Amino acid sequence: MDLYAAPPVSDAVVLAERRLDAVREALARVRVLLVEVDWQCGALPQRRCLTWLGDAAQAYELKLGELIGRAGLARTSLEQAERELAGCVDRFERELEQAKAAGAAAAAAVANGGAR
Amino acid sequence: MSGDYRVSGGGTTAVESGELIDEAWRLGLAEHHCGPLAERVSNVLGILDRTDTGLGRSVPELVLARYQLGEVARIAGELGGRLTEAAEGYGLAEQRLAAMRSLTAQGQAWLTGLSARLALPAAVVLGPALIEGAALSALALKLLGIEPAGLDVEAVRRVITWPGVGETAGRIGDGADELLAGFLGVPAALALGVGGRLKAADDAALLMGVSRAVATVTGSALLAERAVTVRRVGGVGDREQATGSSVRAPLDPPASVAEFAERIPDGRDGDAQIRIERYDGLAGERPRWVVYVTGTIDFSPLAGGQALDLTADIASVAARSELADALGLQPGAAERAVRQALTAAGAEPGDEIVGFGYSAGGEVVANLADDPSLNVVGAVNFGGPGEVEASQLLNVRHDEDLVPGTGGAHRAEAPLRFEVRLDPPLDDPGDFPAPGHAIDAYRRTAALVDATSQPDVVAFRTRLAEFVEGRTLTESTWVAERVPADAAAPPSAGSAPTAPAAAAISPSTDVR
Repeated sequence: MDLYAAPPVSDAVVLAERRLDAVREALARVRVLLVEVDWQCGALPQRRCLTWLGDAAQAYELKLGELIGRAGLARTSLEQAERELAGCVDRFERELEQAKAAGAAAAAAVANGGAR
Repeated sequence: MSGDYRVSGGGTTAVESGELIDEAWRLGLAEHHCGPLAERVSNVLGILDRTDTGLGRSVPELVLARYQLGEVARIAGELGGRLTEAAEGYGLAEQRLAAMRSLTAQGQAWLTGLSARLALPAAVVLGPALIEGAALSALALKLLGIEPAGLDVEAVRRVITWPGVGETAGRIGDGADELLAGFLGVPAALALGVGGRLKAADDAALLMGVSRAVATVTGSALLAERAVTVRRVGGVGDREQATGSSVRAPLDPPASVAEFAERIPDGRDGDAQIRIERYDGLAGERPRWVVYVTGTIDFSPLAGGQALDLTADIASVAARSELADALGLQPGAAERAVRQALTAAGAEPGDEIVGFGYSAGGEVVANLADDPSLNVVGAVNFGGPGEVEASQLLNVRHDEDLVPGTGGAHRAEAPLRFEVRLDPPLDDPGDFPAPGHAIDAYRRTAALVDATSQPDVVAFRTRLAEFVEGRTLTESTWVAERVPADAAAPPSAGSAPTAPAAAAISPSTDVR
């Protein structure tokens, strides 16, 4: 037996690492999206008194209000998703550490058993 | 000055407000931005598919964000479409209104002429035309330095800076033939039918034809055009001669419409009226040219040595008439001088040219842009009569400026227009007799042209910037003078070198 070989990585650790990587990537992308959506919300028409449309102004303004509202909801959802994903990253990091620790403990137990 | 401007011309969208343009631009941005954003949220969801548990509410929140972004894109597209429809509606309405105004003005002019003939109190029917006409006369007197006793200069100034004064002046110009027809007793149907085809340029052509006939018989200098010469007074050529060096101080190409406008000569009597910039690119490539022309300097109707004078103004408007060839009329002295200066500076037929002109200079660059024998790729007319059909022309005008209208009321098919109502109003117009026409006011408006996001203007601006970008600039300035009356015959259609349709940009024989 090669006593100097790295201990085998458990399936649980591999899965935890993959999950953590995926969530970290998703979080990074969501943060970029948030910046862009925030800018887009600022670039939307904000006027609510458009005299040049005459009678059509009321319908236009209602629709414009809906547009602005939906853009705000999109930003709120992204902010919520960002918070959730950030929480997931913290939790998955802890779980990965625990899986690694468990794997190391198991490997040590195996090694100690073999040594005896 | 506020950002309250209008851009129009070049299509069915004949009128748009600055507010509407800005709104449409923002909606277009949202439509084209939010769709891809929704797709990118989908990509994030695809990444999270690899992790099917323990994600809390992140996935439903992302699904919701994707839906809302898709809706934003859809609604923005829908509202943008409505704006376009509204703009087109405005365009149709403007065209109909312009036709109605034109017919009304024709009828008013005919009635005015008839009233004068019948010795009826003219004021009954003259209406605003009388007021505008009186104001124009008073302005002319003021510019000539004559202030009749009892003339209320401030009242005149208020009249000539009314918003819309330019359009009124244009309709008066267009209606001169109807007025004459009314005075001669020509039936209304015939007068309006024929008069509808005769525009301000035709009226100016008839006026120039008559004045030339009078000048031939009497020797009068009234609106009597003559040959013109140009001489270089500044720029690299003189520096080379003075220092014996071909090395010149580098100049930066203008980077904005406002910077181009700053380079238009101020137009003091005796100073250069024309500035020419040569832009050299790669070896073997023909240079590009930018020409700047100032406005009218001498307002006397008697043609003197100053090439930028009232006679040249009227002659340039007249040259646009279909009657010009039949009457043997040539472009005004200012336009002929600009062509000569370009030739003397080294421009050849086919070279790309961009022109910037103020007032009469604007009229000159508009005429150059309208000349198919020249390769004018862009021109900006600040406050000059510029109702030509050149698509590469941008007419910039103030509502409070009567001068642009003196070439006739604008047409629906006119080139790109950038129109501004000065804000704050001209309560303190200063010493300039027509403050809405001041070159400094137009230079400030040039900054608005730079700031607008209207797509047609943005494209125009981009073309100007690319025209000079990265090229080496050399400049020259030119004085244009009409030759003394006893030294030259009036220009005629037979004097081929000055003909605008000639292959060369201008003759070289008159350059010294």
